[in-house]
Amino acid sequence: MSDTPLLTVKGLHVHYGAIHAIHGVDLEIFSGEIVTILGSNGAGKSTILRSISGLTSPSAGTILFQKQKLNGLKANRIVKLGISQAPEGRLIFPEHTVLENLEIGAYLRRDREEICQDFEYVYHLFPKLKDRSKQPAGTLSGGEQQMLAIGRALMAKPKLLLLDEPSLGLAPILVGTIFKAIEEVNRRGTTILLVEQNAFAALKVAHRGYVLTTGAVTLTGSGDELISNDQVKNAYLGA
Amino acid sequence: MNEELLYFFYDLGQYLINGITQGSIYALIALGYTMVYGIIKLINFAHGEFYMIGAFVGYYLVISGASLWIAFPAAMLGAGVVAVIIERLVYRPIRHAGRIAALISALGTSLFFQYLGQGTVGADPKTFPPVIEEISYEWGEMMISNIQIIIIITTIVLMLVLRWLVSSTRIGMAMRAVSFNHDAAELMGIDTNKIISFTFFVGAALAGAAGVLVGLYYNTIEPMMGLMPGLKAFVAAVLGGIGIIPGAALGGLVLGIVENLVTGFWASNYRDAIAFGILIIILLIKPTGLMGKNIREKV
Ligand SMILES: Nc1ncnc2c1ncn2[C@@H]1O[C@H](COP(=O)(O)OP(=O)(O)O)[C@@H](O)[C@H]1O
Ligand SMILES: [Mg+2]
Repeated sequence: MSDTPLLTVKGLHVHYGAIHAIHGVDLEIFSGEIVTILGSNGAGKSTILRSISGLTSPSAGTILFQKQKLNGLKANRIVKLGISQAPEGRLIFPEHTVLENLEIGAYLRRDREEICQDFEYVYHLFPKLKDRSKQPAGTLSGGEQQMLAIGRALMAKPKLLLLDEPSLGLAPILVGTIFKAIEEVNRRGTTILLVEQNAFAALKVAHRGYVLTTGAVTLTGSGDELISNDQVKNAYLGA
Repeated sequence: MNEELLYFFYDLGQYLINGITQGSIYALIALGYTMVYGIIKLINFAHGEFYMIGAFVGYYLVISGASLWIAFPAAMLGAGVVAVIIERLVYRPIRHAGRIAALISALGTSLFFQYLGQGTVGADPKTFPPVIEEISYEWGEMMISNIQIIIIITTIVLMLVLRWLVSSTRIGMAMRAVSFNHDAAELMGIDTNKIISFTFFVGAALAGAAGVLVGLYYNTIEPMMGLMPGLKAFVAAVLGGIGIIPGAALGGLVLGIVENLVTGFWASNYRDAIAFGILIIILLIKPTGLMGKNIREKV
């Protein structure tokens, strides 16, 4: 971990019309970390990820990635800089095959040989995708679609990977598979910002976390600190 | 064979030949409608004007001595470029302003080109030079002209190229991705604005091609010529399933054939009403169109 953060979010405010969804969020993510943002439904987690990716324009605040300001950049430019996202709802391309979905993930890349290696990498993380590579992605199960969404985001070869509730709607055993893969991706050097409601699963893998409550950060600390924090326990761990 | 029956089959064959020819034209125009709808959910009622513009670009090049080998691709290019400009100036600024705004802008753009055409080149029909000498081939009482054959073959070739473009190229893959979801496509690094421009270009180029083919077929063009074929191609696109590319091809063909069969055998005065009858029927029975899937389950 170096001293300057890979990503810095400062004083972020986001409005949807009259709704003030994010009010003054600060975040820092250092190279090599898994950082999680925990929050219940409607807290503003997806809005933060959408702002980082350039899908939503903040009304105030700055987002810096490797010293470059992301504000005002179009989403496709931000991918090129090295941030990719497996979005909420997965948004895999249902009529494209699994293979094509992964190819689209590598849309901006020209390094054919490395792309081939990354196919193998994704298939190694999620062997099920290899078995289904010729199928339309719409025929996959929910868990497989989530694997595909993550695999597709990895095909962009991101420095920072944004994951929006990867455990949503999945059986516990699949959540385990996905989180094991998330840890492996991180071990191989990709920094990860993980948004979750499933605090238990997220805090087991995260180095640090932020707790988001109705658009503002109310608590922050290391994974271990948060997992034993009473507020977190009551709100998210069903204790 | 009974003579009456024989003549019935001659008639049937002739109506089919004419119907397939006319249907090819509808299909070429319908493809652009459906592609643009697929990618930004806009019914571009100005699409018929791209067909008209293609016809005029072709016309002016041909009368100034260019060969069809130049005039035809130039007409496609001209219509395509106009469409890209219109998308940039008219549709892009209001992309998120709602469907009514888009619809009104499309109708306004359509009228703009119709009156611009009348104001600049005049409202009178122009005679498209018969650059291809018409030869008819007869079989019994049926006839097919070399121009009809050219229209049908050109349409098939353009459709095959389109199919290749959409299904097997990088940009085609991106077009399909954008038509599924703009945010998802942007997250892949796809510049959705560029893909939308390109889609307008391709759709209008196909309409421009149809414009020249019609010039060759009927030998007359005029600034209002896009109105009725444009509306009918819209019906064809809905008939096939709006947003579904093979559906537009099928819808165009079916519409051309039905129109010719109904007017030939039954009610020759109602040619223009048939399309709208079909539109009403399809909207009542199967609004998703012939090739439309029943609403997919959301995952
Ligand atoms: N497109 C939108 N239009 C209006 N309000 C929105 C929109 N997206 C999110 N919101 C609102 O912003 C708040 C934060 O939403 P979101 O970021 O989706 O939360 P989370 O991902 O934590 O569930 C919620 O109150 C939600 O209703
Ligand atoms: Mg969310």
